[in-house]
Amino acid sequence: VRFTSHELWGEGGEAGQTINVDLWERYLEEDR
Amino acid sequence: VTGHSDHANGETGHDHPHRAEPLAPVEARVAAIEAVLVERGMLDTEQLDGIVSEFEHNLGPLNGAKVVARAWVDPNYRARLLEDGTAAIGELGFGGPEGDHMVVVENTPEVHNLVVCTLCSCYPWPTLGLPPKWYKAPAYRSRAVREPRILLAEMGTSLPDDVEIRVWDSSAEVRYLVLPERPAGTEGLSEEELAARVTRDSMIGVERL
Repeated sequence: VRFTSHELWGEGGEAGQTINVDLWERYLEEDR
Repeated sequence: VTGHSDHANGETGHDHPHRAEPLAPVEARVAAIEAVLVERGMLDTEQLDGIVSEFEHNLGPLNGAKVVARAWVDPNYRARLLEDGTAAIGELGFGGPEGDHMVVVENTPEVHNLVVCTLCSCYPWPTLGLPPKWYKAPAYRSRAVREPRILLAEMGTSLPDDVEIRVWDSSAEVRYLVLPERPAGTEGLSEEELAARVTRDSMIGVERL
């Protein structure tokens, strides 16, 4: 799952930055 | 753990070499725990020697450097590496615990990748060995996601503002390896010579080559 810095940190986030986190769980389904 | 050299003493099967300096507290603790486990038959010293030898001789950033160099010279390998890191790294004989699910992320002139483990110190052992101390430090782990551009600049890697930074947070399963850009002026170098140019830090993403 990819978040932009602003999504995580609000206005204090750095521009042009994304955070990628592996949140895979076998019971999760892709949101289509 | 060091000093697992031979089984000449015939007692515990371990022979720690003489040292000029006394053991550090953590070393003394490890040695004491090891001695007790061996004494009670809970630890196989040959197996332990094998693990230590594996870390001393077979694991480390030299492996990752070979992967990167191969990707630089072989476009088909590069494509496989980015598609399925675990399988492509396995082609070169590297894999196993802490490297079962490898994801390789490629640096470009527009995108720079940075690897961290915010939770603890997850790291791709088969390709990079054991993590450096700073990788495990709370300051790196928090600042890599909070202010990576400033952190990278402090670590000697200043990125232009128009370069996007992608931070990859490692997990217990998934480990990341950065594929750095091939440096300019290396067209005539052999794969082996290229591998020698690849640094551990560039494969974590705190350095650009």
